[in-house]
Amino acid sequence: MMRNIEKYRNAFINALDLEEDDVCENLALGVTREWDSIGHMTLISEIEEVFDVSLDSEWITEFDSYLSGMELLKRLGVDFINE
Amino acid sequence: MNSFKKFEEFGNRTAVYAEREYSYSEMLEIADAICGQVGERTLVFCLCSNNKESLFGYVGFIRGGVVPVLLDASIHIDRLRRLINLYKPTYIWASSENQDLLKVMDSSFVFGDYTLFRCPTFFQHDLDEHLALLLTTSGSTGSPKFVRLSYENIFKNAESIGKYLDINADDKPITTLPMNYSYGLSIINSHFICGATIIVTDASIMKKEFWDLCREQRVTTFGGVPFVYEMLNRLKFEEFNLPSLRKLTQAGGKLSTTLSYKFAKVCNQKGIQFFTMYGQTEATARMTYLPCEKNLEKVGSIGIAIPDGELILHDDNGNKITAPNVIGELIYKGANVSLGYAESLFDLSKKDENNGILRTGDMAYFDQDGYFFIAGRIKRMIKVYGNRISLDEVEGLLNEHGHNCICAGTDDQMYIYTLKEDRVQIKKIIKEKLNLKGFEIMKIEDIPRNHFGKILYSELPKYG
Repeated sequence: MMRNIEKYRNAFINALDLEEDDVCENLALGVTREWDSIGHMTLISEIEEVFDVSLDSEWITEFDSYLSGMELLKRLGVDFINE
Repeated sequence: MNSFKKFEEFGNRTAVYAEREYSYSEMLEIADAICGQVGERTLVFCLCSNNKESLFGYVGFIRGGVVPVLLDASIHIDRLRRLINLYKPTYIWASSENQDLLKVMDSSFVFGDYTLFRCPTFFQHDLDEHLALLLTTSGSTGSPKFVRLSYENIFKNAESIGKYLDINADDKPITTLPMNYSYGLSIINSHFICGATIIVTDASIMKKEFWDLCREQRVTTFGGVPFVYEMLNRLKFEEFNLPSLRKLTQAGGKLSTTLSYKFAKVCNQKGIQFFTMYGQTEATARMTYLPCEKNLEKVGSIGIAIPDGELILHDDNGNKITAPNVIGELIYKGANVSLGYAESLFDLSKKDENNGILRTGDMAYFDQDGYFFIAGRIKRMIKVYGNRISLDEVEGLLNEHGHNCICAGTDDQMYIYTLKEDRVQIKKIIKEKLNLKGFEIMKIEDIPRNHFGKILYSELPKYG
C-alpha cells in the first residue's frame, strides 16, 4: 500500500503536471508557476479523492503551500508520521 | 475627453487600498511623477500585476497622454522581445526585479517595486491623436495583435457601465481579474471615474487573505469570468457571510445555465445584485448587461445593450433581422467600439477604422421581449478559463515548432489532434509558451478533409 506522504506527493504530480523532481516543500499557491487557481481546483479534487476526505471552503482557502496542506490534512486525521 | 484629468476633484477621498490607503491626491502625485519621467507623448509597455505600481503607472500614462500597452507581468520573455521589436516602446514600466530587462536596459525612475526601464533604441512614434491605450486581443496565445482604444472609448464605456451598475463613490471593488484584461480594466475605470475606492490585491479568491481583505475593507463588489464562479461554487459561496457585498458581475464567457441560475438565486436571497454581461476588447469592454431583476426570468441571456449602445442582428445577406428567435450575426454600435487593430508600430497612426460599428463574430437571437441570447461563434474562437483562444493561432504555433496538428473544441475544452507520437513535446510547448490548461491531446491516423482540402472539424473523434 502506498504511504500517505507518497499519495500526497503524487497528488501534486498528477494535479499540477509536475515532474517527480519538481515536488518539494517550497511549493506554494501563486508562487509555483503550475499552482495557479486552476491548478488549485484540480489539486483539491485530487486530494479529496486519494484521501477520501471532503474539503470545505476554510480548508481550501487556508491550503496555500505544500506544508500547510500536510498540516491541514493532519487535522482531518491523515497521519504522515506513524504509518 | 479624458476623465482621469478630473481626478483632482476627488482630493482626499481614498482611491486605492494596497496595504495602506492612497488618496486620489497622493495617487495623482505618484502617477504624474511616473509619467513625467517619460515626458512627451510616446509608447510605453506596462507589465501589469494587480498592484499599486501597475495601477498608478496606468493612471499617470493615461492622464499624461502617453500611450501604454498593458501586458501581463508574467509574459514570456521571447514574446516580450518580439513585441519590443514590433512596437519599439520608449520605456517599459515593470518590476524592478525583472532580470531580463535589468540586463539590457537602464533604470530611469523607481516607485515602490517598479522601475521605468529606458529602451536602448529610440524610435519616434507617429501616434494618432485619439489613441489612448493598446490591449491584447487574446489572453495568452501570444498574438502581437493589439486593439487600439481611444480616450473616448475608455471613458464612454466607463460612463455607461457606471450608469447601469449605479456605481457611486461609496463602492469598493476588489481586484479579481488582471488589470491588463479588458474586463478587469473596465472595473477599475468605471469605479475611478466615480471616485470609488479600489481594493488592490494579487491574491486569488482561493486564498484566505483575499477573503480576510474583503471583510476587513468591507468590499462591496467584484467581477468574475465563468471560472471564478466555478471556484466560488466550489467554495460554497452560498454559505459566505459578507454583509458589505452588494453587487456581483459576470462576463468573459458564458456561465453554464445551472450556475447562472444558482448564483442568481443565491444572490437574490442574500440581497446581492447579480449582473450577467457580455463584451469584447474590441468594444473596450462591455456591450450588454442583463438587468439584475431579470436574472432568473432571462437566465442564459446576455441581456440588452448598455446605455448609449445599440444591438442589431444581420442575416446572411446583411439585412437587419426584426423578428424574434431568428439567429443572425450580432452587430454592436456605440462610442466604445475601438478604433481598430494594430499589428505593428506602423498601425499606430491609423485613424478610426470601425466608425462605431463592431461585427462581434458571434451569432445571436433576441426573444419576444428583446433580450439577446448568444447562439455560437462564427470564427474559430473558444474561451479557456476566460481567456479567448484562437484555435487557428494555436495550430499556427504548433506548426511553427514542427508539429503537424489541428485544434478543435468548445469553451473550456480544447482538443489538439496530432499525427505523430509527439504528445509530450506538444504538451510542453502549450504549457511553456501559452501557459494553458484544460486541453487534451489525441493521436489520429489522418486529418479528415473534404474534396477541397478543407479540414472537417466535425468529423474529428470526441469533438464531432
